[in-house]
Amino acid sequence: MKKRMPSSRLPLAEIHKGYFVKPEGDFATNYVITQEGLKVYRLKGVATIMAEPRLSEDGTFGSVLLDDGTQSIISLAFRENTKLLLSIKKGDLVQFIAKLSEWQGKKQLNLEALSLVPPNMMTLHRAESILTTIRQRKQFKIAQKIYDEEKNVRKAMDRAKKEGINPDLIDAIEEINYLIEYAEENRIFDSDTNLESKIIEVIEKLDEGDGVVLDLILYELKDEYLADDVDNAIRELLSKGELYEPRVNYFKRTI
Amino acid sequence: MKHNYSIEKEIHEIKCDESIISFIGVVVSIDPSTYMLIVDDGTGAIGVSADKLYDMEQVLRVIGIPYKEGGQIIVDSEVIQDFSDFNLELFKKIQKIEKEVYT
Repeated sequence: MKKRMPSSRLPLAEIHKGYFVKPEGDFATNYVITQEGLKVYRLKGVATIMAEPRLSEDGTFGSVLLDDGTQSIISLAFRENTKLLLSIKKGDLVQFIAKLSEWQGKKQLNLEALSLVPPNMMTLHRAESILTTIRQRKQFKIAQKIYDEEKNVRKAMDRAKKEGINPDLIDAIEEINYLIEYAEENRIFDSDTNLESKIIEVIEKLDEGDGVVLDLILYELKDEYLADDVDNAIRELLSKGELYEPRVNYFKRTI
Repeated sequence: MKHNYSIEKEIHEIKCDESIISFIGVVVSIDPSTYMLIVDDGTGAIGVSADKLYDMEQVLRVIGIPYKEGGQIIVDSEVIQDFSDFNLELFKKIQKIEKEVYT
């Protein structure tokens, strides 16, 4: 039977700063590896619902925007999990457990559990997150020292084990190094993913309250992108819940 | 700088060049005709435009966008949460530790 990966409590900012990994293999669980080597397979957090949850007409898909004061994230619910969105509304404080995913370079959550919590849970969550971070940082520092001294992963793992440090951290350091290198290459060779962030920038710059008309967005980006590409990217941003259309052909950033 | 998430502020730090902020304070004044609240967090007081009326002395967490009107900063509330039973003292201690850990 496949082992269920436990959840980790962390602020959303730490997730956004980390690297998303989709392991090979059909049933392998995605994870985010934080800058301090913690592999987060499931995230547990406390956050505010920042916009009314959206549900597809057939009820098989839904999304909601969560904000924990350190970052915000689009959270999705599929099939039977869409019922989680029925009992919440904008402004609610919730605790969630979710798997991690990534779409077009942006991290997202796939909700597995969601419930309303009293305000003091926010303090508890943040205190526990600090504890997770401090413990991880301490272990990571020692693991990094062992890794640097040994130069050989196998030897470093053996030594870590002897010194009471989780040997997986050595593996995590290797993985982070690879991911940093890979991210650098992607930054150089892949500029397409910038389109969505440029659209958001344009909307934030030009929005005076009622949203920005499509023609104006196309005009602003005409030197860099084809109108069709911009139009498609706007549709994607709408489907992800990052934009909404307050009136026909006017687009506004979801807060 | 614009953010797409709410930045926690004390009221005395709030300026109107921020996209979205949050703070926790006590309702010290209510104008039922304009749905305007004055919320005080001990560092300052600020006007909050709300979509419903709250009770005097109620503890609220406000998430909203600050703007200037008549020389005063007003927060246009996006979300107002009832934080009546919130342990603010403990929360402030945690915030202080967070600053040390995460910055």
